[in-house]
Amino acid sequence: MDRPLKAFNKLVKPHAESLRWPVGVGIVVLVILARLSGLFSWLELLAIDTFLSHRFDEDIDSYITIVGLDSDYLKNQEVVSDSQLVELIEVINDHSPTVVGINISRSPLANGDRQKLLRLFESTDILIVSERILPPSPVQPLTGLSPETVLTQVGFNDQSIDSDGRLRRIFLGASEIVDSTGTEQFRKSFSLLVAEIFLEKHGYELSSGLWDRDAMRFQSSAGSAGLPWPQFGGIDVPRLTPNAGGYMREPGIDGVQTLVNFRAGPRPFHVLKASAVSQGEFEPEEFEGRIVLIGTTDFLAARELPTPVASSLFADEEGSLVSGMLGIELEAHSISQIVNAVLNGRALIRPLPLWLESWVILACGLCGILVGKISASTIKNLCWLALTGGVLMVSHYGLLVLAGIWLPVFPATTGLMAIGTTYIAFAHGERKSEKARQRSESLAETLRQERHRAIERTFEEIHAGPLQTLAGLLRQVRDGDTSKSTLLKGLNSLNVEIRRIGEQLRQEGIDQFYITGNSKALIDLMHPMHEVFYEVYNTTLARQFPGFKAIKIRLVQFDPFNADDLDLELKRSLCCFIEESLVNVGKHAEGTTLLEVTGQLRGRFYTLCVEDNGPGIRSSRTGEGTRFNYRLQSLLGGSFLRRKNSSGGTTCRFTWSVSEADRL
Amino acid sequence: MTSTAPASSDRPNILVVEDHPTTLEGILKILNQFYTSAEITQAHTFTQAAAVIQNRQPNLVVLDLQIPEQSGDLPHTDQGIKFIKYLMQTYPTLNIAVHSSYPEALVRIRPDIDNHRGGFTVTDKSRSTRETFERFDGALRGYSHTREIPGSGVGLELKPEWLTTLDLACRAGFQDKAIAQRLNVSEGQVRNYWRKIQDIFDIYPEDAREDGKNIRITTCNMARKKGVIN
Repeated sequence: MDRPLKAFNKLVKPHAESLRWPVGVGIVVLVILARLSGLFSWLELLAIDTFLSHRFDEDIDSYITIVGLDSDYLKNQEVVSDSQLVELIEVINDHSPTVVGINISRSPLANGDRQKLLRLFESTDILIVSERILPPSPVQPLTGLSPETVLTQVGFNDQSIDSDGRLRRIFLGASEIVDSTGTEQFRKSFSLLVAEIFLEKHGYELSSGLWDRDAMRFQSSAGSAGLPWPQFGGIDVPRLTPNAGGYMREPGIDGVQTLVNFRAGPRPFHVLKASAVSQGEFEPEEFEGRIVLIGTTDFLAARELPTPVASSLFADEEGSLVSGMLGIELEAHSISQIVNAVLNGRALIRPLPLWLESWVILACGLCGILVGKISASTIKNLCWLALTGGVLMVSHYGLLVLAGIWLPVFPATTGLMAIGTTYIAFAHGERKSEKARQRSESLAETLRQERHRAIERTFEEIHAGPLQTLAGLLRQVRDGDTSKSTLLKGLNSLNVEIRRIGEQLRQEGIDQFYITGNSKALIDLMHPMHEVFYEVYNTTLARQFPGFKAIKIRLVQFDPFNADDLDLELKRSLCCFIEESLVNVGKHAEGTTLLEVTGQLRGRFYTLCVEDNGPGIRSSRTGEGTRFNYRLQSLLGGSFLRRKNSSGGTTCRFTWSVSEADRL
Repeated sequence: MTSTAPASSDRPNILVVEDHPTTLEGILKILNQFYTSAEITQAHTFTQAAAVIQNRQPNLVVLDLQIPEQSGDLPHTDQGIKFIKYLMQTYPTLNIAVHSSYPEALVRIRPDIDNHRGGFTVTDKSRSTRETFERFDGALRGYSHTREIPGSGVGLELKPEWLTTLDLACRAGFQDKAIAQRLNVSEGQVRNYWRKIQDIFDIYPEDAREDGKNIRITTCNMARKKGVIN
C-alpha cells in the first residue's frame, strides 16, 4: 500500500538536501500570481480555442434542423415579413416538430399580417421567438404578445463578447429591468427555452443546479427515486464565474452564462433553405420530433458573430468564413450542446474552481523539480522535461476533449518548464562543482605523489652528494690518511653539500630544474635535452673525485633528439643517470685517462653511455645508484647495462626508445 | 690557414649587436681604434641583427648575450643563446665574437660552438681593451677562443673526430685532404677541426708566429705532451 510512497521517497530522498524546494515553490507562487493578475488570460483562451478547433469530427446533430431565411426567400428585404413567417411556420408545424425556434432579433419584423402571427404564437406553445433585452439596444421583433406568452415563448439572444474580441460563451438566463423603478425580472435565453421544451418532451425538467444553486440543471422527471445519487438522473450546465478557467476578472460575465462546446466537424447541423421549404422541397422526417430553428442565413442580411470556430453553414455555397458564424448557427451550437449533454452525455466545458486550478499548477511545478533530478545527464533531463511537458499538454487536451474539463494548461506548462529548467540548471551546476571537487582531489593525489617523488629524489641527491663524500672520507681514514687538513676539507665539503640539499628542498617548487649533486647549478629541463645532458656532464666533472684526477681526454658528444613526450620526472631521471654514472667513475675508477660520454640516436633508440678506461668494477654489490638505474629502466621501459670491459674500464649504458608508442 | 695579413688593410664589415649605450660606445671605440677603415653597423635587438646579417653578410658579428629579442622586450640570456644557435645553424661559417659578462651561459651549447666552422671567440666584459680587440680580431680571422666558457678542468674535452684528425696527421703524416677523405667531410671542415684543437691546446697563431714555429708541428707536439696521442 505504501509502495508508491516508498518509490517517491527513493526518488526524492537522495537529493532532498539539494532539491531547494523553496525555489520551486517560489516559482509556482509567481506563476499563480501572474495568472491571477490576468497575465496568462489571453494565452489560456488561445490554448482552449486551439485545443477545441483540433478535434475529431462529430456526427451531424440528429435533433436539430436549421431552416435558413436565404436570399431567395427574403428577396432583398432585410427582414422577413409577418405573413412570410406565418406561412413558413404553418408548413413546418404540419410536420409535428418538437419545438420551433425563430431567431430574428436584429430588427422588428416587417409589418404584414401581425395579428395572425400573434394568434399563431398564443395558440402554439412550441413556438419560441428571440428578442434582445440587454442594454444598450434592446430589440423586440414581435410586440403584442401577452405577458405570459412572453415569459414562456420569448427568449433573449444577447451575446457577451470576451475582452479579446471573441465569442465563446452564451447566456442561459439574465435579469431584465422591466420598469422605470428598476424592478428586475428573470428571463431565460432563447437557447435555454428551446432546449427546455425539447428536453421536457424527453423527460427532463429544468431545475436549480445541485452544487451551484444559480446554475441550470436538467433533472430526469422519471425521478432519481430509483437511483442512489440524484446527480445520475440529470446534468448541471456549468455556470461561468468571472474568474472561471482562463478568464480573470472578465467583466462581461454576468447573469447565467456557460461556455459553448462547439460541435466539431464540417457539417454539424442539418440545414434547409426557407425558399425550398416553402416550395415543399423537404422530407417530413426533417421536422418530425425535431428542434427546428428558423434564422437568417442570407449573408447580406445576417450578422456575423466572432466565434473562434468558423461557420460550416455555407462551406459549399456562398463561400466559407475564416472564423465567426451567424446567429442562428451559434444558437444551434448552444442548444445542441445542452440537449446532447443531457441525452447523450456529450461533454460540456467545465472550468475547475480556482483553488483546484492552483493545485494543478503547483503539482505540475513540483513535477518540474523531480524532472530536474531524474538522471545524472543534463541532456537526458532536458529530454525528460520536454516529454513531461508533452504529456501534460496531451493529457490536458484529452481531458478537455473527452470530459470537457478545462485545466490551466498554459500556466501549468509554464511552471513545469520554468522550474524544470531551473532545477536542471541547478543540478548541472552541482555536477560541475562535484567534478571540480573530484579534479581537485585528483590534483591533491598528484601532489601527494609528487611529494613522495621529492622525498625519493632527495634521497638520491643525498646519495650522489654527501654520501659519496662521506664514503671517500671513510676510505681515506681507513687508508690511514687522517691528516687534519684532509679531514677538514672533507668535512667542509660535507657541510656545504648537506646545506645545499636543504636549499634544494626549498627549490622543489621550481619544478623544471635539475639540481646537480654537488654544485648549486640549476639546469633548466625545458632546454633541449642534449644541451641539458651536456650541462649535467659539465657540472659533474667539475666535482673533485679521485677518478677524475688522471683524465687526459674526454670524448663528449650528445645527439639532439625529440624529448617533447618526456615528462620532467623522466628528464630528471635521465640527468640523474648521467650524473650517477660519472660519479661512479669519479669514485671507483681511479686512474682513468680516457672518459667517453655519449648520447647517440640510432633509429628510434637513444643510448646514453659513460665509459672509462679505469680499473673496472671491483665488486658485484648493487649500490643505491645502480638500484636507481633499475628504477629508471622500469619508468622508461629501456634497458640498463653496467659491465666491466674486456680491455679494462667500465661501461654504463642506458638505451630507451624515444618513440612514446614503444614505451606504452 | 687563414690569411694573417693585417686587418687594417681590409675593409672589414662588422655588425655590433648591443643595446646598452655605454657598452656599445666602448666596443665602437675599440673597433675604430684598431680598424681604421672598418664598416661598422649597429643593431639593438636580435630581430634587427638577423635582418642586417641577412642583408649585409658581415665578416664579423660582435654580440652581447643579454639583448632583447625585439625592442620593448626584456633582455634575457636564453634569448641570446637561442640567437647564437640560430646564427650558427643558418650561417655555419659566420665569425662570431661574444662579448658578455656572463659567458657561463654558453656552457650548454659548447658542443654546438665546437662544431661551428667560423671563428668563435668569447670575451668577458672585464677584459682589457687589448685582450678584447685580440678576441674580436681572432674571430674575424676565423679562430676559436672559448676559454672564457667555464670548462670541467680535468683533461681535454675532444670530439671523436678531432682525435682521429690528430692521430692521422701526427702519427700517420696524413695531409688535410686525405684526412677529409677518411672522415668523409670537406677539407674546410678538417681545417676547422685544427682550429678547434688549437683552441683547446691554447695554441694561438699569434704566439706561433712570434716563435717562428710551424703551428701544425706545435699542435702535434702538444697532443703528445698531453697524452692525447702516443
